[in-house]
Order: sequence, then structure tokens, then C-alpha cells
Amino acid sequence: MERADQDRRAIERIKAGEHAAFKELIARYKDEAFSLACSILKDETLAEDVLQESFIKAFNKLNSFKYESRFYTWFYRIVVNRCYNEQRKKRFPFQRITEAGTKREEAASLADANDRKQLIDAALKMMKANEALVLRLFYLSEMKVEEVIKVTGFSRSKVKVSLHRGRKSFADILRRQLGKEIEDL
Amino acid sequence: MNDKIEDLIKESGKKTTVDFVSRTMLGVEESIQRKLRLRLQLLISFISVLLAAAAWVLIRGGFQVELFGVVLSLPRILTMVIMTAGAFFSILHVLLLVKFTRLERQLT
Repeated sequence: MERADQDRRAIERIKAGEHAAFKELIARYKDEAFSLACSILKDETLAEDVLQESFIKAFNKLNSFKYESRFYTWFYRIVVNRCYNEQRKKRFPFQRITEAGTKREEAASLADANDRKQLIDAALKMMKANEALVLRLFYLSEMKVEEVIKVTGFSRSKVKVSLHRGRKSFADILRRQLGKEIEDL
Repeated sequence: MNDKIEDLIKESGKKTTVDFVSRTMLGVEESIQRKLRLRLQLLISFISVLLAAAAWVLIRGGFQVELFGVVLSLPRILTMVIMTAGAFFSILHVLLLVKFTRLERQLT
């Protein structure tokens, strides 16, 4: 059975009062949504909290979901909006100093990272939130440009530019770190 | 190049902590309870307002109410019952409000 059909069945069961069926949706989307939240927030603990809130919000708003899009497009939109709200809350006057500090920490973690996965994580953390988000939506969630537009609310050109720049900066960062292993990027 | 990037991004997929599903379900259950509590509070305050309005109409009309052109004469005792019930629901509303506020504080 396709993912969309499985989602539909689970949603119908939840709407009929079988709340436990929501577990299925959480289990299916938690990791991908977590990756997206990490792309924007760059903080795993905060990302997990925001994701939890997003699932609760999705559950409460499930009655307003009318299958006009796929469930994950609708849900990822909630996650992305929540993440941007959280990011806005975190902004304060001396952000530049902390940002610089974070960048240094990220660069250091990139230098210390000894396995590939850590390196990729560190590279994605160093990238701009928008670019990392679009890359993950496009490649990890295998979304089409149209779906990326729906989730992010960006214009078509912004999605395409973010995708292009994201690919370029991701490849540049990794090329510097992984050298030969990734020469062909 | 794009294929390679795709592979690398797929490698970067993150995993939530082990108990994430159960913790989130707990949050969902709490939110259901919260919604039920809110509905109960709203219902009780609605009943209180309705009873208070009924008592006020009765007293103002000298224990007579005109309904669809028919004048109904209601005994004082009925007014007293309505007023007492109104007072009871108002007190119940306040008590529930205090209890639920405490519960919310404990949960957060």
C-alpha cells in the first residue's frame, strides 16, 4: 500500500476517535521531520521540542485537513512554520556575536568530525537554514519543486536558487573536508 | 554531482530519541484532556449565565413570563430553585477553574 493510502487510513481512524492510530503517523514522519527541523534550528534538542509541538498541533487540527495535499506536505508546513517562529523568538540584539560564535563552533566541529556522517551533519549545520532545508526536502524527502514550494512558502525562483546555491555550498564544504573521497563532486 | 549529493543528504537523515513516540503520544493525550476540560468549563459557565438570566427575567417580570403571547405565572419557589442552581453552577465554575489552573501549572 502506498504511503498516502496508509496516511489516509490512519487519519480516518483518528477522526473516528481511535487516537492511538496517531502513533503510526508519528512513527512514519518523525525522523524526516526531525531532519527538516534541524536544518532550520541547528539545535537537536530544540528541534525535537518543536517537532513534538508540531505533532500535537497537527493532531488538534486534523479535522481541518481535507486531503487537498498529501499529509506530509501539510504536516511539514506546520513543522517549518513552527521552526521559523522559534527562530524569530530566539533573535535578540547581540545575535551577531552568538552567530559568529556558533559559526566558529560549527567550523571546529567540522574539523573534529571523524566519520562521514558527522562531516555531512556539520556541513549542513554550516549552511544557511533555507538552503539546508530545501536540500533536505528535495533529496531526503524526495519532494518535487511544487511540494517544496507548498511546504516552505517560498517562490518557485527562490526554491530553485536555494537548491542551486545549497548544492554548491554543500559540495564546496565537503570537498574541502573529504578531499579525495568526494573528488567528483 | 547531483546523485552524489543526493546520496550524501540521504546519509544525513537524523533520528529522534528512542522514546520520542511515547512522549509525543503523552503530549497528545494531555492536549485531549485539556480540550475536554475547556469544554466542560465553557458548558458550566454557559449554564450559569443561562440560569442567572432566567432568574433575572423572572424577578423583573414579577414572577410572570410571557412566552409566545401566553402569560405564564411561575411560583416563587421555582425562581428560588433557578437562582440556587445558578449560584451552584457559578461556584462549581470557580472551583473547576482553580482546580484546572493548578493542574495546568503542575503539567507545565
